[in-house]
Amino acid sequence: MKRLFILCLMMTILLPGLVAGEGSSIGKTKTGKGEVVVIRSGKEIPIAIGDKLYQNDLIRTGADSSVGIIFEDNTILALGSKSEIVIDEYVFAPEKGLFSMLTRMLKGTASYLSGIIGRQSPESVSFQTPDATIGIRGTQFLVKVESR
Amino acid sequence: MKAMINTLASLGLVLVIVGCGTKSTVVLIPDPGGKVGQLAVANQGGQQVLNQANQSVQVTGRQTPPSAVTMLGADEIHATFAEALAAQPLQPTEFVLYFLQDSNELTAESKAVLPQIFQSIQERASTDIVISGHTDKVGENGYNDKLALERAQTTSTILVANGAVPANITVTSHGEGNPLIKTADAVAEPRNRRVEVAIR
Repeated sequence: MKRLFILCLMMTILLPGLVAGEGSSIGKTKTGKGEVVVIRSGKEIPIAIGDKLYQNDLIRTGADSSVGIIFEDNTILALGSKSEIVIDEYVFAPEKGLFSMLTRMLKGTASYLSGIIGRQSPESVSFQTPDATIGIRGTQFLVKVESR
Repeated sequence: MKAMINTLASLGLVLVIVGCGTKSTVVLIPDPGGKVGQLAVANQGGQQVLNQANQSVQVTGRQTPPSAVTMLGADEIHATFAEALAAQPLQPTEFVLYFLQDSNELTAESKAVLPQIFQSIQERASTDIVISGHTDKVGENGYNDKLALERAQTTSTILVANGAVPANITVTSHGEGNPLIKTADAVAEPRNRRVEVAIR
């Protein structure tokens, strides 16, 4: 029983540290105009040029706003106004041969230019909209998601 | 009567779902180097492949097959995507430096490239410089990871000695995992013994 208590105590101390340790930055905002925020762990955080982004961030632009991002692998993503996009998964660990980038666009307009992940492991890159999944072979493309 | 209400209610629900649907438009464009790649736009209804510049496809809902491929004019693309295109960050300026085999010593040719890197950092007033070290596939993974890091650190030291601010530099090792030239394991390839400097 005492052992169990110590185990629980250790988990309580260690787990939050583990969760925080998971989050290394996946990229930085390089351009920005108007109102740009990220929703991170349920909190809305205003974003300025040079700020770091993390896995699971939802990036949102307001009216007459835009943002441009360079990811760690040099993937370039830019959003027009009234846009929302989530980076569901981003893994860039070439030294371990691990690559993954799953992007989910909810609304608005975007420009996407693939980087090193797309070059080394195109099958590990996926871009989703509510209507379709886009498989990418080393290129640039534009997406618009609107309600109908 | 109850059955009728149920039917009406579910019909209403269907209408609401259809009314709240989305439409996605995907356009393939050339990358900044002029290269056109390939996109596969797929859902439960089917798939369309785009492989020519300015080809576009529309998709309405997960179940409906993607539309036929159409060609968009530059004006149409600009009208819809001008904001996103204008928000694109400047492409990183990239340099590749080569190293002697199993060494963190730069080749003579690459030493001559260094002044261009110093100049580019100044011109862009960059505060985000990423230095990644790489090896070929000769040697163990762990050893190559370390060798690649040493190459990146050596490069960082040179840049700092020539005016770059340490706080603006990120040093990483890609080991043998991000080759410029893809080879089988244990193959010596001088073009993979390198450091890439991305000035962003």
